[in-house]
Amino acid sequence: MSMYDEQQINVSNRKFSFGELPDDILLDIASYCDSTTLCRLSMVSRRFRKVFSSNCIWNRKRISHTIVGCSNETSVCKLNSKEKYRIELNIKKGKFKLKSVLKTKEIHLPWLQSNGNRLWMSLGSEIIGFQKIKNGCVREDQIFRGHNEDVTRFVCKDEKLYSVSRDKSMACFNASTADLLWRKENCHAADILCISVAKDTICTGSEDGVLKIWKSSNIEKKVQFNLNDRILSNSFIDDHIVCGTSYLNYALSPLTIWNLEKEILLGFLGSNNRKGAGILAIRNYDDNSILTGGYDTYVRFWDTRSAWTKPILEFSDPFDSFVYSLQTDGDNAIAVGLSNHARISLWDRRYTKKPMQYFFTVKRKTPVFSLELDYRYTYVAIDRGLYLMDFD
Amino acid sequence: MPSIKLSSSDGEVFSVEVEIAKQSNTIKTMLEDLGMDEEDDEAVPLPNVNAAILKRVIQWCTYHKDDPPPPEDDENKEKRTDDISSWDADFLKVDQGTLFELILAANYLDIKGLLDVTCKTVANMIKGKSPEEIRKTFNIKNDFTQAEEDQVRRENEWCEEK
Repeated sequence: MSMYDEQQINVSNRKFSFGELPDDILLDIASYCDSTTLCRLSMVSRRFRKVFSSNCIWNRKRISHTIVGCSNETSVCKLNSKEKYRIELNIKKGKFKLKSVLKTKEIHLPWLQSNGNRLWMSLGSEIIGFQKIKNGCVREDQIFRGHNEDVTRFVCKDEKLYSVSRDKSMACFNASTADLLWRKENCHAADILCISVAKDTICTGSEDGVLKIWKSSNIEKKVQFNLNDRILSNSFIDDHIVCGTSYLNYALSPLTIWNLEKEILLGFLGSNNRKGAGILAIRNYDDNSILTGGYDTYVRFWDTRSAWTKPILEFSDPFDSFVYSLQTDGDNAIAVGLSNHARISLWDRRYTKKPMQYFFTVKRKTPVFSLELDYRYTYVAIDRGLYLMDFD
Repeated sequence: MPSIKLSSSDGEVFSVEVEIAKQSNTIKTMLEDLGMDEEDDEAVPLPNVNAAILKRVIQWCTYHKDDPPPPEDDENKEKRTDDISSWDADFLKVDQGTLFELILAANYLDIKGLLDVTCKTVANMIKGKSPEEIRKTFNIKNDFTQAEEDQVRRENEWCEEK
């Protein structure tokens, strides 16, 4: 604030110009300017570029976006607040470039997972590994082979990739070399539909209606629970496992919680469910809460510390689509992959009256089977391939 | 009504009611914390404000002496600029130099209401103008090199998209 000391002012009655105002006053003025005006101001001169692009101005602007971006993504850390504002504006407006990453002739039910700069996608009996390169683009550099029939789910944890398949087997690969470490056949009496992995435990669920818990050290079955209903999804939460079924056979709810140590059913999540309200997707939100979605079009947010009979939050797709996949940024954004027209809806946890935005990806009647958020880039798996939504 | 004396940078002394002068948090602090006596005959020196500007500031404070204290800023809300009262709008029909000196004085004297309304006025002057028009209006030199200017244009293209 050199120009603001007494000496200068006392020297004469010279008039100040806008360009000479100290930074803190320019920032005060900036708080009354919209984003377009701020951008134009930053094009005026070198000093203005610095002042009117500063993070404190743009962070304040970002608060007015209902969705404040995906906070846990490392690739975003390099961006300044102005760039984040621009990307969030694109997300809010539904403005993105769609890029095709991989197209297939056959129809699949692919599954996706992204970890840092790696991305994996199941395609038929194989899993393909990609490296993320510039601008969200990916390069295929691995193939994981170990199943005879379609891979239904897989999960990458601690440098290992665990997969289950319709061939009733479970396999484990080295995630960096794609080498098959082990394979266990006939894990279930029918197609295995889901797998979750905790630090020393693996949990699988199958069409045979049985939920099995395995020790990861020797792949021996520890315990099994007979649910008598197709098991579509599962997930560890704390010391428990949450299991989602198709809900065709009568029970209190398609969502059950099991205690692994005591090997008992702890209870049900929700009540008064419609028959057939099966749970296709379970996504962990934090240590104590999960998101679920499925055939009754609802996304529900459960916290295991509160009453299990009612979700702490629920919202439903206005166009009556099933929920096929769920993803969250660990903050307020929840992305929902829907059953029709490769459509994704984006919700803000704090405002559940209607979705913030819909994204239509390809003109095909396909569900979004799986999706991964990377702030600027969202990866979308549909029946005939993998697409990249580029919000940059 | 007790009053105090304020002395401008160029030595002119103004006698002002204490309640009016206290709209300035700077003066209020001086009076309350530094134990300046209201009966004291000595003028409070304001070395950063000249007589012409101080006169206007006092005029503004006199008109607004019965205003409720301005609300705290809500960071979550977009700030409005279209709510300037007609008295303030007339009051601020001054040349640019005077307007900016009023801003500096409001900032130094910590008069939130005056700072808000002057910043709003400047924001309204900028709104809708292109970078070149902003330079012309405020007589700011374009000190970018051609390469920098191209880069800055690319950086900010998105703001013109609807």
